[in-house]
Amino acid sequence: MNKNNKPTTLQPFPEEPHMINAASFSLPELGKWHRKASSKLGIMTEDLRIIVCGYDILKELVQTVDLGQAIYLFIKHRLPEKRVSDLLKCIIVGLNYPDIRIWPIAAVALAGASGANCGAALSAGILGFESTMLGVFAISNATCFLDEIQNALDKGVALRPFLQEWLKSGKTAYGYGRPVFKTDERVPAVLKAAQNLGFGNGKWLSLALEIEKILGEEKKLIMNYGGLIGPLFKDIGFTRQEVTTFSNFLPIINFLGVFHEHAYGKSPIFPLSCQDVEYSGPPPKD
Amino acid sequence: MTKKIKTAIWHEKSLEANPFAPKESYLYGENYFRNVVSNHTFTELSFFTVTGKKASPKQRKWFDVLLNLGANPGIRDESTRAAMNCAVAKGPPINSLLVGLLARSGENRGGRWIEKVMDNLTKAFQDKTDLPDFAPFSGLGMHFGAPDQRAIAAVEFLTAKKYWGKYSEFLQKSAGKENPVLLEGIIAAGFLDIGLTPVQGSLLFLFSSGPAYIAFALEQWELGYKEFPAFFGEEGFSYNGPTSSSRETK
Repeated sequence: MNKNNKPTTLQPFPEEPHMINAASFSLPELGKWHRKASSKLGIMTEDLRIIVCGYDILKELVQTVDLGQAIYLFIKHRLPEKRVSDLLKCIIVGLNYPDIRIWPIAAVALAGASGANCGAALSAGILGFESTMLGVFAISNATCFLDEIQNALDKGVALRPFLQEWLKSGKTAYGYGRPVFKTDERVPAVLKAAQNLGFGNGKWLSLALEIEKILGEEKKLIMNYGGLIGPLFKDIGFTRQEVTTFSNFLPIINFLGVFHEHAYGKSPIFPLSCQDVEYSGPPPKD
Repeated sequence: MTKKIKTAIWHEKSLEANPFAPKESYLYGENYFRNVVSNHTFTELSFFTVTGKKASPKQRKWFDVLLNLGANPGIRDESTRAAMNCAVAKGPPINSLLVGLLARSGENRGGRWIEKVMDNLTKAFQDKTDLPDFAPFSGLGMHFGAPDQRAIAAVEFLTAKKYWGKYSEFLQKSAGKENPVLLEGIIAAGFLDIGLTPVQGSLLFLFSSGPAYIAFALEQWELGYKEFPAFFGEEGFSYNGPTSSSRETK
């Protein structure tokens, strides 16, 4: 809770707790796992082979898989069909735009300008991108919003009254609307790419487009990037947790470029004077 | 042979019936939860934990002041602004603290700067060389194009309270009109004077600013992005890279 007693969790869709630190386990479980761990993802074997989900990565994958396939493999534990990895590439490229006025990107640039290492600046951007207004939780919450709607539809509630009630209650329609701007230039470009790859009629994308039509009429809300890629992720079978994990990768390429430019740049980033700060606290005492 | 974690810092005795559950915990041999935590201030405990040595009363007070000096980079500092940028985007507030610390870890008067300055102060003092030659890691320089008024205020009370040692003195004597003492330089010199190594000093410096990021980030978290300068619609940000006709293709 913050000082106004408002929750700082990711309402209305708080994440499921994942508590698997050793201190949360009972003695018999700890005894079973003492000095042990397991992985379904992969291992470096004693003869120095790198196994990922049954593939010998150096012998079988190095020359054959692309970046989209590799990311999918590491998260879903199987290789995707080509059009899925092509879609992932489109989604990644579509999100990487290097404007340092955007909040998490500003964090990368400011950290880089402060002489932080690339790892630190990159981490600052990733942490900043893990937000509900844009970025990771905005995207995963967009998938939760779709689930909530589908549950209601399954119970026989009509879409328009559900959305009207949702807006009336003051809840965020994740995936729709955008801070600062009234349109989202990324949506038509990546939607077209998705349609070209054969994802235009997916169950979740179709629902999302239907929602956009109603929210546009009701509150002039447009589909944002999370509102587009959330249902696309669902149509290719990503769970909420997989969406959350994968989405952290989305801005990385851009963050690398922004760090590289501003860490080694020649000018400061939006320096502010003392007069650019509007003070409203107790009167200063000398 | 199964390897164990080697440490001279932390020891735990387990419950007899449960080797995972600690019965007693010791920091450098002293019972942590029974004695250490109730008999030390947080500053004393930080010094003890990091160095393994108990600070003398004077060292403790001096260390306290040095940490306070570094505890707030100000609202306009890049690190604070990175933390606030994270906050207004409405992520988990804990991310903003981490972002602030990450952004202050760097070479521009951040954690790594402190380490380099402490290293260079030691070298210049021992070798009797000119400290300004180590710029920008000398602890000297201008602050926003002017002598650092924060440093001037700090020197006044540090010298009055005799929180002043050979490295602090050396720093001040090395200063000139064009390269006056910086606040972070005073902190670096003070850390050496109370016996911290450069690495210890740099990490403790970074660690000290946590509460400032917490305050600034929570304030902006509540105010939200609409109240925060993002420079959209202003003329301050421009693109001067290649155009579609001048871009390189290979």
